[in-house]
Amino acid sequence: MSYIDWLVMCGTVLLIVVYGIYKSRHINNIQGYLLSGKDMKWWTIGLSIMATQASAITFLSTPGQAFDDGMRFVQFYFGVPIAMVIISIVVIPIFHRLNVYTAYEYLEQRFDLKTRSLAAFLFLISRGMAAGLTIYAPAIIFTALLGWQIDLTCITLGLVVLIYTVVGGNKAVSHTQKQQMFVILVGMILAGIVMILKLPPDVSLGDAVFIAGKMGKLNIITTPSSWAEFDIKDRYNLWSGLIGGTFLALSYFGTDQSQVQRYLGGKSLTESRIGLLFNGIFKVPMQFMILFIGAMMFVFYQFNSRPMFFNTPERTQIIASDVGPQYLETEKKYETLHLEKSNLLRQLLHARNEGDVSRVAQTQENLQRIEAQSDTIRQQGIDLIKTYNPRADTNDLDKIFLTFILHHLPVGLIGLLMAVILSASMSSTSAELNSLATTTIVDIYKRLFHKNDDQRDYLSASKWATFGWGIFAIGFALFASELGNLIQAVNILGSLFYGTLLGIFVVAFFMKKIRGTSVFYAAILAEVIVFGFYIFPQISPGFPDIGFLWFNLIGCVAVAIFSAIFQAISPKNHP
Amino acid sequence: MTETDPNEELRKMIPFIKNWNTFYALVLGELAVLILLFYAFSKAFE
Repeated sequence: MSYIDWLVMCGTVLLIVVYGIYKSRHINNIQGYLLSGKDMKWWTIGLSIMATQASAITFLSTPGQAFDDGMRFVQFYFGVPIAMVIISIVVIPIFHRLNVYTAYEYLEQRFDLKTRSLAAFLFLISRGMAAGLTIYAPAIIFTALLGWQIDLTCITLGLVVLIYTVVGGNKAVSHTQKQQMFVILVGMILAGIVMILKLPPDVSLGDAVFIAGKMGKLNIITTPSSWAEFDIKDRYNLWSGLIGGTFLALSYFGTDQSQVQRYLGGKSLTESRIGLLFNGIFKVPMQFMILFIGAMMFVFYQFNSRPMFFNTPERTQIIASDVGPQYLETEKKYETLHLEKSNLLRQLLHARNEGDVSRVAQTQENLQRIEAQSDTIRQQGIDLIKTYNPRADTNDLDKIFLTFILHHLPVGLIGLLMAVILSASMSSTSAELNSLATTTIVDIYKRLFHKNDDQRDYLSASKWATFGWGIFAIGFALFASELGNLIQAVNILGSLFYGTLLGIFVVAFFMKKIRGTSVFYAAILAEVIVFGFYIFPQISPGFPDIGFLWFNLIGCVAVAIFSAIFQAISPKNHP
Repeated sequence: MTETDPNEELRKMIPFIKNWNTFYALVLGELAVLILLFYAFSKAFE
């Protein structure tokens, strides 16, 4: 990176941080610190909600996802608008009427203390670890491609977030997120424009879309043509997106404090609702745009030299090893096929321009054959890397977009795109730390240990809690770098809790006769079942292996059913 | 204390949306239109 890029990156990040601290300079009570004094406008809430969900990995991995698997990942977000409407109608009015600080506070009013504490505990476990990963995930990519030191990157990134989150609380988080989201959108749009401008002169945008389609990258909607073809393991299709995605979005936006806190800070019920619906309107188009950039990046790399494997440090290691010549031979074969593919793509465009349908079909068939051969050769290269180093990171999807940024964007724009990635990481981490501190103070410290302290004590405790969670997150990020395989496990672990959490809230909202003890034990049983669905397929091959999106549905339905059963069989006066 | 009409509050902020039901229909309608457009887009370039 050039000095100009460093200047743009550091300047952008620093300006946002200073702005956040400036906007939150008058906070002197716990409501101001944890809920922004309830004075947020809908556009701040909307952008804040989007920024919280969009982590650095969203912008690093999503284009790579389209590059590899096509745009069908967008279906994952189809549940968001549906969930936004449901939450606006059902959840927000209740939270506003009860004037709660956390979603879990409501559970005590509806059920009892133990159910509130259980939900808060589930949130603290999953979100606490996730906060560490939000710092670690982009750091590991910067390390791989820029040679930054991973520990130093984690600590610096964590400390920058920590400073403004501790000082300004929710207000600093929301105001910085507004600016961060602006930087992210501008940066991504510019990257998309440059990518299209960098296509060869004889390939127009229309041609690029045509190629992406013929190469299977515009598979936005995938749906089985009959029930017999329905595959429950398939993570991204129309039905898993609409059903599983709705449950996931309901859990995330309705019960995860890192999101609930965004709209609880609204000036009024109307502001909160509009902010949430704003997210419902713009989320799917935004993800479409990011994935479309990925599809265009795929076309770009069909006409430009591309590495067979995007993880540079692993490639360097294998080349220096005794199987290096064998690996280079594989790369040479891959390059030959790559050139052949470029020529065929030009022939495809030519055939299309001449209106020769049969030649288009024939060329497409040839392209698919060469693409399959390229995939096989690439896999051979990856297998070599794995044989040489079984612990090697062979997933390079999240490195493709950053490789493009570093090698093909002009000076200055590289710095801006780096600021985009850092902004995305900071916006998610700050919201997570802020919500972790809120839950710790409101649901545990204030509720269980210090019921009648004054405002200054709570404010000070909130700042310490934010600081403590920040240090925990940084520590976890440093620890995660030692345990590569744990990251995937922790990612899945987070998704394992959402269904149960949602189930507790669904029972609270819709099953008025259910009481605390029933839902408490139902939640524990549901959690055991969800864990069973995750663990058994790994130890018993005959057990059905289902996509993780369905865990949300299973957990939620299990809590509802078991709550009803426990309530029916419990003595009449049971609490 | 008088309670404000939620639809009235919404109209004050976004005048072209008459009431909440219209807003919800707009969000869900947009999703339906997007799915149809995406489907047509996928098929057109298959």
